[in-house]
Parts: sequence; C-alpha cells; structure tokens
Amino acid sequence: MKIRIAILVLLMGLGLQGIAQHLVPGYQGKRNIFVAQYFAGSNFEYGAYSSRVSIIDSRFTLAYEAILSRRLVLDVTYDLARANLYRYLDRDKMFCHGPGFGFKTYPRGLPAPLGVNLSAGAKLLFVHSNDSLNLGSSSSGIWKTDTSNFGNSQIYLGIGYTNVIAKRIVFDYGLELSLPIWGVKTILGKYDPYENQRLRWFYHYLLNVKIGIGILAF
Amino acid sequence: MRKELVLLALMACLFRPLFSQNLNNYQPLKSEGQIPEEFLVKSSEKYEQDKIELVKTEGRSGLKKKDDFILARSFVIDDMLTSGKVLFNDPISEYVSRVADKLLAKQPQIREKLRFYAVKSPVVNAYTVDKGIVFVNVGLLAHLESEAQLAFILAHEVQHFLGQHSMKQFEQNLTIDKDKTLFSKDEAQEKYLAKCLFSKEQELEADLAGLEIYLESGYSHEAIDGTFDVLVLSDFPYSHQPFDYTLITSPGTPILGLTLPPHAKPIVVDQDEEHEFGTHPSVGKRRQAVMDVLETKRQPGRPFFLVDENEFYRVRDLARFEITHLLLKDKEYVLCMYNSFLLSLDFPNNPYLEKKITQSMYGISCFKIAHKYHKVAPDSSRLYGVIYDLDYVLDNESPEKVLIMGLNKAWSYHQKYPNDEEGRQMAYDLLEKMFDTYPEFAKKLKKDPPPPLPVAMEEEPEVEKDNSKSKVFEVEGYKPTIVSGKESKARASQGKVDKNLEHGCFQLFENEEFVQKYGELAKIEVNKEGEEQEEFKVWSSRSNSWKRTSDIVDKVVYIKPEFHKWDTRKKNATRYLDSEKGNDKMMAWMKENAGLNGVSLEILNASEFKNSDLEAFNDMVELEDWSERWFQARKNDGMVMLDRPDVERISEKYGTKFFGWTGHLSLTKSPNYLMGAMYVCYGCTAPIGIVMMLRPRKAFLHYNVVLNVESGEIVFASVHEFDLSDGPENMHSLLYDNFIHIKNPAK
Repeated sequence: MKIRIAILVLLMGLGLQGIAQHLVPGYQGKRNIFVAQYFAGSNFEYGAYSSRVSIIDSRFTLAYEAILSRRLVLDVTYDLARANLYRYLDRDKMFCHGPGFGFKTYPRGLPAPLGVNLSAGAKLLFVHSNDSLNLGSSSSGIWKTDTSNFGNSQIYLGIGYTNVIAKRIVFDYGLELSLPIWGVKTILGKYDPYENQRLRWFYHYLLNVKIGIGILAF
Repeated sequence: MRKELVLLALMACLFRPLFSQNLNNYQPLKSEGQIPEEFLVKSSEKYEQDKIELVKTEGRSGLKKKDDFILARSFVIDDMLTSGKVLFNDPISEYVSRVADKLLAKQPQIREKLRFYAVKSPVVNAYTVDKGIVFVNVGLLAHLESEAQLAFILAHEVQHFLGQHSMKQFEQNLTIDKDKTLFSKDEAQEKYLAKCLFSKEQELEADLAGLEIYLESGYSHEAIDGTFDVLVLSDFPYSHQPFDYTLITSPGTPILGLTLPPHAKPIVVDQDEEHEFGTHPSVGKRRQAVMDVLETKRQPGRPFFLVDENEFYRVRDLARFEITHLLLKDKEYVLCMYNSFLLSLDFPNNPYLEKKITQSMYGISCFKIAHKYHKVAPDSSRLYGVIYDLDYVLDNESPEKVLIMGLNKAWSYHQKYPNDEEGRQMAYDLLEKMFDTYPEFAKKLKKDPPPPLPVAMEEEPEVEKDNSKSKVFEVEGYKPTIVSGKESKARASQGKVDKNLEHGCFQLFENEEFVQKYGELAKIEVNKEGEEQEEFKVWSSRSNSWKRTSDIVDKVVYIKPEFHKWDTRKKNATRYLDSEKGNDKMMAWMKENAGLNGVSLEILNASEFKNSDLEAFNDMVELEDWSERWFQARKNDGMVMLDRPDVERISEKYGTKFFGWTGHLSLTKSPNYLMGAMYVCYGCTAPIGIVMMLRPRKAFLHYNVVLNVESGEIVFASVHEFDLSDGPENMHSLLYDNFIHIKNPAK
C-alpha cells in the first residue's frame, strides 16, 4: 500500500509537470531537483506546573521537487524520522518512515526555485517503536513502552529560502510546522500503541528547522 | 599641367572626407579609419596604469590623495569616448587637429600629448580632460568666423591641460569639503560658491596663459575679440536673418495669416553679467583681461587662416549641417527649422534642408496637437530675435492651424520627393492624427481656395528697449517681418480656429494620393478609447513585468549592455571597478544563457572591439542613437521616427532584425537597523534581527528590451526590480528567464 501510494504520488507529480506550461524557466532550464534534507525540531508541552520539551524530532528526508511553473513546485518526499519522546520520568525513542507530497510556492522574486517559498502538504507516517530501538533508553515503570506500530498522518506548513550555491547545487533552509490530523492502522504490525504515546504524536505540533542540499538534476 | 593634376589629386586625397559628403543628401558625421587605442582599452587598465605613474611621480601619499580622482577620471572619460557622441578621424576632428598642429608648431612636445576629438553636440563649447584629450563640440565650429578663433579657443583648452586644472579643481573641492573652519552657515551654498570662485580663477588663468601660446603661433591678433563675441552669443543662432514664413505656411500661397508678436525682442546680452554660481567669469571680464595683455603685444597683419581658408568654411558648413541633425534629435524643432532656413540661404533647393524643415514642422505639429508644445519650445534664454518671433507664432496659433501648416509642409515634401519613405510616413501620419484628434474638423476640409486675403504689408514692429543693463551687446541687422496682412493683427485667440482654416489644405486636394488617403480616413470611425487602453496595457508600470510578441527570434544583437553598481554606504557611491567587472560577467552570462535557450547572441560593445572594427563601432553608435530616438518617438504620441538609419543594411549585415538593449543597476544599502532592533527586542527572533543588523541590503533593477529594428516594434520587454543581490545565481536565473521568453514567441 505504501509503495502504491508513493508511486501514485510520483506519477501525479510527473504528470503535472508534463502538462505544465512550456515556458517554465527553472534554473537555467533545470526543472527537477533531488534534495536531501535534515529536520530538527521539538514540541513544547505546556503542563500545569512547568513547560518542557516533550518530543525531539530528528528527521532525514529525501525529496524530489518538480518545478511546475514560475511560481509553483511539486514536492514529493520520503521521510526517515527518529523521535525522542520525553516523558515525566524517562525517554523513549521512536522510528518512523513515510511518504508525503506537497507544493511550494514562490510568491515573489525570481522564478522558482530561487528565493523565499511557502510550502504546504501532507505526510503519512508509519511509526515503529520497539525494543531494538529503545535499547538506549531508560524505559521503565508504568510508562515502559512495548513494541508498537501505528500509522499517523500530518499536514505541514513551511516557509523557506532556496539559493543556488554552485553550478547545480541548491541550498535551502527554513521552518516547517507539522500538524497531526489522524491516525491509521498500519500494515506493518499490530495496532497497539500506548494511548499516551500515540496521543503525543496525535495532538501536538512539531516545529522543525530544516536545512537541505539539493542537486538540480535535469 | 601634369604637376597641377598631381597636386589636385593630392588635395583630393587630403580632403577626401569633405568631398565625400554630398550636402544635398547630407549624412550625419561618422567616425572613420582605425579606432584609437584609448577607445578600446578598459577603464580599469587605464586606472591601474595611472596609479603606477602616480606612485612613481608622487609616491604613495600622492596616490592616496588622488586615487578617487584618477579612478573617476578613467571611467568618466571612457564613458564619454564610447558614448557615440565623440568622433574620431572625421573631417571636423581632423581639421581641429591640423589647426592644433599650427598652433603648437613651436611646442611639439606639448602637441604630441594632445588628442582632439569632435563631439556631436550643438552646444557652443569645448573642454579638456586631464589625459590630454580636448573635446570640441560641433556647435562651436558652426559659430566660429575664422580658423584663428578656433586656435584661440584651443590655446585656452591646451592651457587647461598644461595647468592640470581638473586635477586642481578636484583637490580644491576636497579641501573645501573638508574645511570646517571657514564654512559654518549655509555650508553647502558657501562651499559651492568657493568651488565656483576657484573655477573662475582657473578660467582666467587659462585665458591669459592660453593667450601666450596663441601669440607664439602665427594667428591673427584681431581674431581674439571676435572669439569673445561668439561666446557672448553662444545661446543664439550663428546668424540673424529674417525668417521666411512662407516656408511653413502653404507653399506658394500664404493663405494662413500668422500673428507675429506685437513687440520685437532683439537680442540683448549683457556681457558683464556674471553668474554667482557659474564656473566661468563674465565674458566682459575675460575679454578685458585678455585685451589688457594683448594691448602691449599686438601685432597687426597676421593671418586669420594658416591651414586653409576654404577648408575652414567647408568644415564649418559640415558643422552647421550636423547641428541641424543634432537639434532635431534633441527635439529643438524651432532652432532646427531656423538653422535649416539659414543654411538654405547659402544652399538653396537643398533636399536635406527641406527635409529638416519638414521634419521640424512635423514634430511641432505633433506636440502642438497633443497640447505639449511647451516641451519642445526653445529655452527661455534663447527667446530673442527671430527665435522669439517663431516661438511666439507657433505657441499662439491654434493647434488646428499649426497642424494644417505641418500637413501642407509634409504633403508638399512627399509630393516633391515621393521616394522618401519617411516623407510619406510623416504626411500620412499627420493626416491620420488630424482625423484622430479633430475628426469633425478633418471631415469639413474644403477643396476650393479661400476668399483672397488683403495684400500683405510689412510693418516695422515696435522694439522693446531694455535700458536697465549697464553695458549691452546688441545684434544689429535684426528686422522681423510680418507675412500676412492687416487681418492678422487681430490675434487669433488660442484654440480658436481661423475662419479660412477649412480651406487650408485646398491645394492638397489636387494630389490624388492625398485625396485617396483622405477618403479612406473619412470613412473610418476611429475607436480612440480602445487604442488608448491598448497603449496603457503595454506600458503599465508594474515593477516586474514582461511582454513578448509572436515573432520568432533566433538571433539577437545586444548594443552596449550597461551594468552600474552603487553602494550608498560609501561617499563615492558609484563603484566603477565593480561595475566594469559586473558588466564583463553579465555579458558572459548573457552568452551562456542565450546559448542554453538556443538563441544566437552577439554583443556590440567597445570592450569587445579591435582597432579595425570601425564598421561595428559605427553600427553600435548608429543603433544606440536609433534606440534613443525610437524611445522619443514612442513617448511622443506615436510620432514617426525621424532620421531613421539604414536598418535594412544593418539587419542584413548581422543576420537578424532583432536588436536588444539591456541594463542592470545594482544597489547596496545600509542594513535595516531599525527592523533588526525590533526583531532583537522580540526575543525569539533575535538571530534574525542580528543578521538584519549586520547584513547590508541589496537590490537591483534589470531591464531588457528587444526591438525589431525594421518595424520598430517591441518584441520583448522586461523590467525587474528585486530586493536581491546581483550574485551569479540570481543573474543566471533572471537572464535564463529573459532568454526563454525571447526564444519562445507568445501564443
């Protein structure tokens, strides 16, 4: 299913690019970009007595960007995320991977992909948390995690800046806000997360700082 | 006999450029021969060379003091040299150089340091720059009466060079700017005054020391006084003859009574009048200082001409013909018309002069009916004598009447010279404009002649006397003439159409072509509103916009791309060296991005030429000139472009009819401290605030226009304004974007 969705999204992107107007300049005619991005972010939880970080997210993303027009870019991504969940007494680690797609708009300035951009899109997250990933954690007591696999999905909104730093290399950076919207049962395993843990993914936003290096491919 | 023939052949070779010019079909002056090296060497290279020389002569301290000057000098002079206004190896520059040879025959070491170039400007002026270049305006040659007068002016300019006056003025300006003790109140004004005073001292010094150079040559001492007369009257035409108004009314039948001013305004110039903020002392003071010295050294009987008297007159005629072209280009239609009239007294039935008068009347008519005559009226300082009368007539007559005059002139010219395409365009355009602007009036034009006017009478107009000035310089022999009869005394109020104006084109109805065109236009209902909307759409001034037509473009020739870099944080905001580097880079990037889009690109720029590329250099000048006039014609209510160059030849030569003009202005400003501080104060946005406070702001403006030179249509136009740096990534993106539009026609 995941593969099917990924392929579908990719085909949609290519299809859209195909029907895009022929006057899309890109950067010196390069309209397809492969980007490796790193996201780091956290979620602040506002408790009754104190505010603290509840999740630290660390995410590697591979993205394919297709310039559809002077102001619009299709963004197809594949995430590999690792999240540390901080709770009252201990910390657990979760691993998640998932496809996503979205759009970037370059509202003013030079034609895409240069300059300030606003992004929006959706991601499916297949969360996998098990002992092997929790080896380093001090999981104990009533909050001890068990192996769990569950699905989640997010929408994201971002603002960023893209620049060309060498002949075919782009550098982009910005902020991205992820908002969970619903959870789905995964095909990978049982649907049995701890309620508290699932809700952390469910009801909290994640504000990530992103940096990325890309190649203007063709 | 054989010797004479050989001599004649030699003379013909010597004066080849003069003889090659047929004044009946006068062609604007062009540079000839090899391009001088100083036109081609990059400004930065000249600057580096000057720096080395300066360190050798004055050491590091001298360089520190004068660095800014030699930098600005190299670039400003080169801008002038490659502007297309400076001529080399042309008849006028050659002649001026020969006069300089005679003047400095006894000082060959000075002569070899100097180069003389004619400048295509109608202004009476000559000036020297520090590097030994003397520029002599064509307008000066047109006003002179003898070779000796030119020699005296050259002696003055040579002394400016020998005295290194521009360098001294620069140093003095620096001293004045830095001095905080002398200037307290109204600082800027006082400082400017001090600079002007220094300049005036230098001018007097150049007069007196130049006189010494002049006296060493063999030229007449009597010529000097006349030179000052030329300077006093430099704002006015070179001669003062009553204008023949039949030239601008219906030819042969002056049915349109013109209203001349009730009072004549003779040319009265106070030669002792001195402008406080001028750079030169009054002519009276200069004349007196020179005459005082000359009194003791005067030697009568010296010749006025040492090179050749006939050649002087030929060169002067060329200069006078050239200024008609230049005045027309500057939209000085009244002056152009009068200048052409004056020349036609010496060169009757000259088609070139007839065309100039027609073009002037065409220009005036276009501006008049657009109620913009004030934009082309002569400057108030010139409104004396005949020019005052002419301006008065054209300003006070109704637009319809001026249009009728222009229409008659244009159609009679077209009838006389049917092969002149520009004449046809002017005639058709004025008729179309009449239907556009005054459709009702146009449809009522009568084919029969009007009732006869009373017999024309010449009356002596009253002359306004100005006795307020202590010492005046009056031009004698000025006698305005009234063309029409008593009826014209009752002045037609502005906007009121004369009673017989509908008969104003009756002669033209004998012309079949006119009748046919008139008939066609009379049938068409002009949708004026729609046309205006279209024009607005094309020229809407959005900050970032582009336009593209459906023409297929494979090759573009760009003319002199410009790149200017300014840094407003610095005292001297213009970054000359960076601008030159930026220009080189931009040209390379243009070629790269054009290539990526499959557009063949050629750039005509002085830095890319060799000495032998004269033809390309002249093409660059011609196209630059064409573009200026194209923009003027476009701006001025869709006028026909006057003096269109031979674009067919040029487009055939370069294999394309698409020529481009592009320019880039890059600006660096101080960081936005206020916004930065606000971000810092907000707390979590402090890093952004710090960056804002440290990073200078950048912005650039880029324009790119491609024209079809044969049709005069815009094929592609873009203007972009960004708050971005002009780094390679932004430039590549922008240039690629431009060329993709140039390559792909609009659907």
